[in-house]
Amino acid sequence: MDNNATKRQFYIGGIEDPWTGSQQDRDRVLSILRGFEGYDPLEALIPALHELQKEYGYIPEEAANIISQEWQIPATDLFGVVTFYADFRTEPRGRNMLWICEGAACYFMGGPQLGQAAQEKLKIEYGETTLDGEWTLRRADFCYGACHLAPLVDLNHTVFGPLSKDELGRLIDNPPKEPEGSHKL
Amino acid sequence: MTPQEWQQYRQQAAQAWRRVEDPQETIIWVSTDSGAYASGASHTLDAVRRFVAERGIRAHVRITASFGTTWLEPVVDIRRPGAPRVTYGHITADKVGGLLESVLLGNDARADMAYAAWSEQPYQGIQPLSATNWWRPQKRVLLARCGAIDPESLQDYVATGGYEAFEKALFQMTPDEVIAEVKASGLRGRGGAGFPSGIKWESARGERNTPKYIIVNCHEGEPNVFKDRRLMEGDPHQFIEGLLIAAYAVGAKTGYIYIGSEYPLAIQRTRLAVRKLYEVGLLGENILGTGMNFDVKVVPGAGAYISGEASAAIYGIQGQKGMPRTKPPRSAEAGLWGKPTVVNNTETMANVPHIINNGSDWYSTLGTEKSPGTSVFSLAGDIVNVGLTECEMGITMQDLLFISGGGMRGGKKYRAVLAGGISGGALPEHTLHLPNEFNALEAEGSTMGSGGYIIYDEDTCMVDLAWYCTRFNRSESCGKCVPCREGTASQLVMLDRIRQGTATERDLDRLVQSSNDIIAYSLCGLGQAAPIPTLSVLKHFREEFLEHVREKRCRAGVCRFEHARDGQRDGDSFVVTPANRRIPLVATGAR
Repeated sequence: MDNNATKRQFYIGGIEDPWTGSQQDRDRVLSILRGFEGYDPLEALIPALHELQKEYGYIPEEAANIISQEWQIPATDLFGVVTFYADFRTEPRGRNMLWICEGAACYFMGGPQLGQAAQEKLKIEYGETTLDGEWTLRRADFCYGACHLAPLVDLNHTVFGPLSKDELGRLIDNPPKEPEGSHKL
Repeated sequence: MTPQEWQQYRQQAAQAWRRVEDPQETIIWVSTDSGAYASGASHTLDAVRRFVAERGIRAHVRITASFGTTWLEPVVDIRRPGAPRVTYGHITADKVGGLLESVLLGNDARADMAYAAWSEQPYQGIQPLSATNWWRPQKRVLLARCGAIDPESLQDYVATGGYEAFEKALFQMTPDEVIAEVKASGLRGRGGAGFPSGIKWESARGERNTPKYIIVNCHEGEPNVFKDRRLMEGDPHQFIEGLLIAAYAVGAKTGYIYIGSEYPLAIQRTRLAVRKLYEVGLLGENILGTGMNFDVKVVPGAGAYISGEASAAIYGIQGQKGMPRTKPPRSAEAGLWGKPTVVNNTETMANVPHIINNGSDWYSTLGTEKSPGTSVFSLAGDIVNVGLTECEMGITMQDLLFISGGGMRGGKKYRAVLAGGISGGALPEHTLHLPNEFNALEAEGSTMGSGGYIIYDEDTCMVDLAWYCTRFNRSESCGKCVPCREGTASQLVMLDRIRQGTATERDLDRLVQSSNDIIAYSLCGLGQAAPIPTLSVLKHFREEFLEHVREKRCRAGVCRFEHARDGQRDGDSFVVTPANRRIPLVATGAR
């Protein structure tokens, strides 16, 4: 527990950690767990982790420990689940979340080139967050079911495509607050 | 709800549906599914509603899901009094005003924006839907309601014959008769393996251990396969009805619908459908007064491709790591919480109501002898008609890709189709006469798999394709068994050497050898299918590999051979290129 504070400063950089470890945060976790009363704890675990991540953008270690204690799930099992499934993050995310689709159609229609352009522009690699906490970049290996838009990117749950490198660059320069022409998935 | 109340509900639904069928009504349908939303359908819908309200037009604005024309999204359909329904494509919000202005107020059907008219004859210069290449080879059974009904409305489903099959099973058939009917139909699992569903149900019914569970595996997961997704987004009640029938037949008390988390709209619409069923009493206790109790839970996945494997899906629902386990015991003997469990794919379940309604004899007239029925195919890649098409089993690849699929985009030459998604093989031109049915493609090193086909043109490098598929399987391997975890990793290195031009011909033999080993010794379907793309590409496109190795030449111009001039380096060191530098050392979590 003690080294959490230093760890936070170490890797978070400019990202504001939404988890402060305050009593308020702990209560919030407990209220998420109360929403699953009547469920088998194991059955509720993954939905609960989804809700926790929706709240904080990642799975804070201390919050996971609370779940472990409340529901009597061994911490090792819980961390196994959190790290096994690609949805769950163990680090805070940037304010903008950019996914580059590298599905089997997007990959051959220019997805990797978009990915490279984004990596060079943001100076991070897939899975990383910029130091100022603005951008998190990830590679999507799954499908958006919108292959007619290939190659596409997903910026804050909104799909853009087909994109050229320049268009992606402009998108990163001016991330739209309420994007036009697309829909929040 | 008593049977009488249910009949009343059915009449109300029919009453409401009459308005949709009334030829005197003006109806505007806006397609809303994830493909349409990605193209901006929500703005189109807003614009349509605003236009109708501002101009005071008496029109009924309805939402549907796409009926398969993903490449036309956002799609708007309009039917005016005395005119057939006309489908318009690429109607973004800015085009709505112009379209509605001329169609609704100007009596001009706008043939320039239309795709097809739902009529027998051409209408105002618009081709009839039945004459389009995309529609011609199709036989619509599972997709029949997609595009016609509001997927968020139980009434629409009931009014179009929904839950009749469940009533028939519940009141007129015994569970054994239901199973016999499904067995006689020859329905085979659509998830990829093609296991006969009736046999699965029968063995679960025969188990003494209770309670029993049914899982609908909606964790499609594969890139560029989106047919189950559209079935959930376009007609969620259809597969839930199949689930109810299965529950009655097997004697299960609880059903789980396990949906991948990358399908938010599918989860939302399925949850809504389940909630409405509880409201009208088709779920819960004492269903329609028969004493049948059944609960359904919608469980989201968490973004692991392997969770689509049956035993991994079970662990996912149990809140554990989704790692497959050795069989036996099979899930029908000891599955969820150690109890007998039936795991069926979404499309398999969607078939069940049609079999019960129309009988197994009717079902076996569709498709081929060994693979009866229809199948929904999702087409993606360098093809004109990117979207869904539903054809009878046994349709040749040629008809599927070049008639329904519309052929290659931009007049390019066909190179290969990756049949069955990432776990299938690549098929070259000379195999296109093959029928699409279970086992027919295996001789050419491919499979029908999950019905997702990705088509590639001449600009695609086949070595790159094999590398891509291996990278996918490498990063999605759960890491439990060594052949899959280490085998795919070493194959990735070998394939990268070929891409870089530092490989020798011995590498090709090593690839075949290691592929066979991975297939022979892997635990689950993912590992057993992981080398299939590589093997099939090596079989059909060997000369392309040899060009890479001998001449350092990539005929598609994709591979750069940046390290080729360094001479034949000892290939054991992994060559890092910008495109692949983030291959993780841990097996999962590559996203």
